[in-house]
Amino acid sequence: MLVGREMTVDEVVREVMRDKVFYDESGGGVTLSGGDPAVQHDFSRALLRRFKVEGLHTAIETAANLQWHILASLLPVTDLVMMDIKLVDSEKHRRATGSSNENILKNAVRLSKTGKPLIIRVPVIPGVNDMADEIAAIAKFVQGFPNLWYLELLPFHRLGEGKYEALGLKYAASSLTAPTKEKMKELADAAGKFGVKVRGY
Amino acid sequence: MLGLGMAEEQAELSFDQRLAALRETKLRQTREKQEALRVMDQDDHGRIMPPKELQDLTEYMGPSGEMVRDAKLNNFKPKSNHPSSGFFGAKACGENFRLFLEAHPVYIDPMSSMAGGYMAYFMGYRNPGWPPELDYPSLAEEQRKYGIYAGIGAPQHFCQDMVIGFELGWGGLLKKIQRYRKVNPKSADFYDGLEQVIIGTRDWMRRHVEAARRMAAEEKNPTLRRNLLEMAEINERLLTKPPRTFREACQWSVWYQMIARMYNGSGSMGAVDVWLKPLYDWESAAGTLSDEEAIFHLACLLLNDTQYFQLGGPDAEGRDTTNRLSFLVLEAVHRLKAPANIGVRVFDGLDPELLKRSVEIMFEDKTGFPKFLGDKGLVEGFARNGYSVKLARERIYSGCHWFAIPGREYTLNDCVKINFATVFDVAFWDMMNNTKIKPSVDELWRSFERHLHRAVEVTKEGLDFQMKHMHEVFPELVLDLLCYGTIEKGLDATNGGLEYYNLCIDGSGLATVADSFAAAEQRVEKEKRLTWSQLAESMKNDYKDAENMRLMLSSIPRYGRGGTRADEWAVRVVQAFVRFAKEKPTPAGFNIIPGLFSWASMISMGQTVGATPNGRHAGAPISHGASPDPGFLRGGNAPTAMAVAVASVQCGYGNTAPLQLDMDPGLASGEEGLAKVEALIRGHFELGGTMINMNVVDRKQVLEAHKDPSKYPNLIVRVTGFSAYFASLSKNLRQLVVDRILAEET
Repeated sequence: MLVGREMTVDEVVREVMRDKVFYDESGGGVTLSGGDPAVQHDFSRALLRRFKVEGLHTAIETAANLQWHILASLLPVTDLVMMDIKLVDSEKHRRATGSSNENILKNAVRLSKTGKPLIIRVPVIPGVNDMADEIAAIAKFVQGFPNLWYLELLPFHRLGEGKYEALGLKYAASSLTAPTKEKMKELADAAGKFGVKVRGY
Repeated sequence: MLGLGMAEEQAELSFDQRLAALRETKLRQTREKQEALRVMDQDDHGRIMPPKELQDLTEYMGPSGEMVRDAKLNNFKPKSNHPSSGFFGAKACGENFRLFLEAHPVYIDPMSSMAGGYMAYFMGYRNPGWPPELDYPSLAEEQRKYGIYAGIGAPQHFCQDMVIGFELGWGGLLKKIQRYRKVNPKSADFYDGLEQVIIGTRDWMRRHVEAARRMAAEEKNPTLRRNLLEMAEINERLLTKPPRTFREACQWSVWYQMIARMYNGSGSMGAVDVWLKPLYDWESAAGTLSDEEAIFHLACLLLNDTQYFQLGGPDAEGRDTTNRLSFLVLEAVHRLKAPANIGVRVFDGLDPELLKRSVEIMFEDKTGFPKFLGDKGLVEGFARNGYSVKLARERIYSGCHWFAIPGREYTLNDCVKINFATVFDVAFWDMMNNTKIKPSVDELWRSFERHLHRAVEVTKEGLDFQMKHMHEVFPELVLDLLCYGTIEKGLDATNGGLEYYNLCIDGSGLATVADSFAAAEQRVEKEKRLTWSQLAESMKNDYKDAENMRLMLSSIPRYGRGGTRADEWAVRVVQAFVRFAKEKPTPAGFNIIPGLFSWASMISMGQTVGATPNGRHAGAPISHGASPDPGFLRGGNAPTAMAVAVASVQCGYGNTAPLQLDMDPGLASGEEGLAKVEALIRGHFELGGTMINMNVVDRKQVLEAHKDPSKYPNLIVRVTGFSAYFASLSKNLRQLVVDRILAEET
């Protein structure tokens, strides 16, 4: 391994439980993010189960581009799901990410029927989805989800650039700049028209 | 003088305008200090430079190992009463202090509502500071061996009760002395000393009264003329009478805090929102004092000196003392944006608004103010000494990292330290040089325990020596005035005048030792990557040509990360320390309370310690108090990890092991961020933590300021228990602050 270290479920739990008092004081909990915790779902499931036993609030961040039964198997030990939707249009999605969004959207609809608290997050990327109609399309898609807490717009940032540089990789997004506050406001307004609660910057 | 045009000269001035002018003056005075004194490795006191023609510049070695300058008044020469040319004892100290005050110039800023400003430190004239015949060579040798700061000759570091002064005034105090002089004729020398302090103070005040009248006669601005006349009237009254208004109480406190600071450096004031409350309540109910005016007087009080204050917290019965005044004090410091030493005492019953506002101000002002105090750990701990919970709640924050019961307890806090790293150094070489034993971690621990035990005993013996002689050397004449029992019994606070004696011993360099044990255990014993003699050889050569070995040793999982062997060693070291401190009182019977703190002495303490197995070079600074070494955790959530680690090494008897946190300003953006910081504070205290010193630093700015401090004369950082102007610190101390920040960045 280049970086990081391998850990067992026990080790992670021990590490996390050291800070339990701070979760209690802040009303916080544990979020498995990634990458995508659904990729190592056996480990994630075991870990989340242990957290539930310890009485912690649990959340996962996922792109949901996987077989439903895997995602479904994490839900009994998950209190909150945060899921990405980048675009509704399948063709544009393919062009931007290299794969279709068909499965993602299907999983989103399935998640909407589980009753599990859900946050839909949209990374706002210049030239890809920073247009009012693209964001509106996402808002329209999720507006009927009964378990939706809110739609969150996350502005593109360049924090990863240094990491690419350190690894000697080309930073493909080097020409992009973060969307302005005004832009984000405009997009949030576009989504808000569909009666969806929007959080953004 | 004010740089005002003719028209403005005649205009009334608002409190805001006057405060802005006072802030400007403070910055100019700080620059003057920085230029004249260069380095100030301590709190930024309110002290101002004497006029050039009275300045006498001297140099001495500061705590961070750099030469420090002091400016003395050249128109005062103390009178000796001893062959050593020093002066000792109550009468001589009191008389010399009176002469010192006679030589001290008058200072009035017409913008301020408070008269007075102090320019020199009386104790700097004590030479020698200790009479040569009271020598303690055998004690001194062992104290040196174990890196002990023995506290012999150390003054103040406990807290008076301001309420006594507010009730009696200078006139009432004089009468009290005269009354008890008859009861205790044997203490005549002591009473003479106390009287001299009051006589000198009143004379100094009287000169301010005259100066204020003279200045008023020439003052064109109506607001300032009125202010100067009121100032004269108030101070004339205060020469004998106790204060009866809020402004008078602040003015009385200003005189008291100045003489306390000048006499022997005391900066303890205690629960300001409690002792000022009756007059504030009375005046605001009567409609004679607006909150704006109260804030202004408080700001003037705070500008006069950086004293230690507590806000909020339980009274003896457990009810929150937070009141309107607590918020006004916060607001005064917020508007000043100058260094201040104020602690907010956090407990379950605390008005949540006070904590919230404190955290907001901390992130907005970035001056390391206020700090946070963990009531639960403090009260439960102090009660463990056999005291009631009620009494424990009355132990108030009044110094860098410490607490005292106002007017009733002598503590010698923050003056007595054992350098764990030195003890480890001695223990390690004792084991290696003993040919009869085979080196091992067990042997090393046994050796460490034995030497630590002896170090604590020697420290206790030193404390008895201090308690036996301090009163005949340099008694606490200013603090004695406002204590219960001193005047009544005719005894100095160091000589049995008070009710409670709980002497402090702090341990320093915990992480250095814990990591050293863990490094030797892992690399030598478990992994057998090197032998004991190879380790010893490299340490002897300060890791010369052994950089790989040094890095291997320093790269073990270190104290602070949580769940590591080093974390366990840290707890074990503290438990042993506490056991030795508490197993019995000093031979003369004084109770000891252990804590962990190194003030700003990490540099000087490290200079005498050889290379250590954690990869630390010989002479390098030791770790700070209870803190993990900077860089103990790469990535990860350092603030919570540190909060857990430091909570796990609390000594548990009511003295502190502070958590030192440097936070990025971005961390607390918005309500949510602030709530997280609050949760961090509450969480640490829930775990038993006793104190949090938080620094909100803009890293870029500090790094730039380190390159050229003169560019950022106003940048304030929390160094340790105190905040100071970054540009005033020595290069060594600035480097430590910068290292801490850089380490947390990765």
